[in-house]
Amino acid sequence: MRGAVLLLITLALFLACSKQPDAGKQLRTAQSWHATIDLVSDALHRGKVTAKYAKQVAEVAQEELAKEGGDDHESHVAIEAARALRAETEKRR
Amino acid sequence: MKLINDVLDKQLIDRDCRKCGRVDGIVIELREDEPPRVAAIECGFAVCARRVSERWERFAVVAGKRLGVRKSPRYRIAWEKVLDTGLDIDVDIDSEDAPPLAWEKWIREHIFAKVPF
Amino acid sequence: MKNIGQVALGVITGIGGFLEIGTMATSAEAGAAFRYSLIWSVVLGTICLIFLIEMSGRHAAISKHSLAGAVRERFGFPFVVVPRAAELIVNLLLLGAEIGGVCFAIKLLTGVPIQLIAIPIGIIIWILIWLGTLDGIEYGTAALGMLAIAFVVAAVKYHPPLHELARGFAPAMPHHDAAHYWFLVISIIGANVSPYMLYFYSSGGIEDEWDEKSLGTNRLTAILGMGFGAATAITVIICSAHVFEPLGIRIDHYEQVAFVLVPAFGKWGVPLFAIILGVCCFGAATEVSLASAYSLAQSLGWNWAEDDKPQREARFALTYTVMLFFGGVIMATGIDPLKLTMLTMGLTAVVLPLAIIPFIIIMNDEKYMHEHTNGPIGNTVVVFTIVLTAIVALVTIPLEIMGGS
Repeated sequence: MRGAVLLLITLALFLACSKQPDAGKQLRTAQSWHATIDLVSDALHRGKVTAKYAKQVAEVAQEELAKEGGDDHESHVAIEAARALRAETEKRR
Repeated sequence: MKLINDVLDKQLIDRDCRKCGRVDGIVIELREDEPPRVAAIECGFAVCARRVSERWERFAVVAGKRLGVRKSPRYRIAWEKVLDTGLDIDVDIDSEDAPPLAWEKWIREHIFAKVPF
Repeated sequence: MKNIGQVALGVITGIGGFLEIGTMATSAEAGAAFRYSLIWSVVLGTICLIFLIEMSGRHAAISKHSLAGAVRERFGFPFVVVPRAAELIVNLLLLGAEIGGVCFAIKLLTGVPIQLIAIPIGIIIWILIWLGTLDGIEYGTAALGMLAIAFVVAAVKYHPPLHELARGFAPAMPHHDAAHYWFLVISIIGANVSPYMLYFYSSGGIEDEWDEKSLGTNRLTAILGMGFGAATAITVIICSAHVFEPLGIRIDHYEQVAFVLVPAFGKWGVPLFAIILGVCCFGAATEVSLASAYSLAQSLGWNWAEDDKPQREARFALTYTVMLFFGGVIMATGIDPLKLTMLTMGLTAVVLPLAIIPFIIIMNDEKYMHEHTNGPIGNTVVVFTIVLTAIVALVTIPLEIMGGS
């Protein structure tokens, strides 16, 4: 019984740790964060959110995109958009 | 009376209506040529631990000796002190200075006494 | 009049208390990923919760015994040791997540990092519990949590298509991302049917000295309070579906969720979200820490009562003190609050069956319930909930690996 439980735990850990980077997931993440940046950026220009909030979003977007490590065009565009938003929030403060 | 159904694991209430633990074990005295009789009820983490496994009991006894504030990790209340049984067990003891509330007293005096409000 | 007042307070507690970090996170993620198609899981979880809450209250009123105490008395120490230990661990993680929610709300408004304020927030919650009474804590935080009505207002402003909304109330197979869909179903059920709510409600009933006359109020409070609370959670799904889904935004961080009220309230959107989240998580954190102390004290036979001086209930008080300290420490490590929340919702689903199985025995035990034992409908719902939560518990770990955030 204990052996079976140990085997299950080992299998679960192996599956969790051995997940290969999913190219489809990286693309969806990049698209999602790009859309988030655009949404927040637009709201910032219209005065509907503060620069403080927009900066928090930009920082989190940069962290997540760096973690995903996507090398496709969408990821690069998203990272650039996050950088631009962050720079703009710092100019406004 | 069914001992396991009506006594074991029930809430103990002392003579001041304070909760003072649960019946963690029952001590039965085996007598020669006479039927067994209930001698006492037993409380304490070591008693609970014994019901899970002997290894847990050994751990509880060692931990109790090293970290405990009571003289013993087990405490017995003589069956004669049991006043009433029902959903709770009323016992004729003053638990404030008795082992069941030893930890309660220790925490109050050594930890919460320092709280300014 | 008194009964109407009590029901009203129960409804307020339900609305203000239902929304917390778990329901906020799961509802926002559900709306963003699957529009309205997960509303049925909120409804399902809430129906189960209403029945269980009503039973907990009825048990407290008739037997004058706590739920956790009755489980120990009826099933014995060897039965309770594993579920209690599992519940305490899950509660600790959940407490960390709730403290994280409060800290995140403060971060949204001020920019102060979560790690810096996690332990101080734990201390503030501790002071409130130490000095306050149960009613004061419960009703105070619930009244402030009524600000969650803002989600209802926003949902109306967003004009959701009613026919599509109605379809969301019926279970359906997902069109995409099946693993993520079912993981969210499990998480929503885990967020709605949390064991800590049952112990908290039961203990509150005993502290308030409910009796047979309270049964009607108890039933109404369970139905209306949880019902209105669930309606608020559904409005979070609606708002998230309107704001995020059309743009393909998946919720990975609370910073994204914070935008959900901006289209409805403009520049007040983010601050309003922060205040609602902060207050609701603050209230939930007090409930989780007290519920943990209640269930441990009741299982082991200690003195327990929030309304009594803490020095008289030293072990009970020490339990919530330790929980709050370590809850604060968990968030001070820098762990992401959203990821911790989703993990905790999944783990809650795993321990649920162990918390609910005793209901089928206790609620039919005439020694405790006298003539107020469960009827056939109540027993059917309990058995259904046990089967549902058992299936959920079995598939949670694989789904968490495959479909979790």
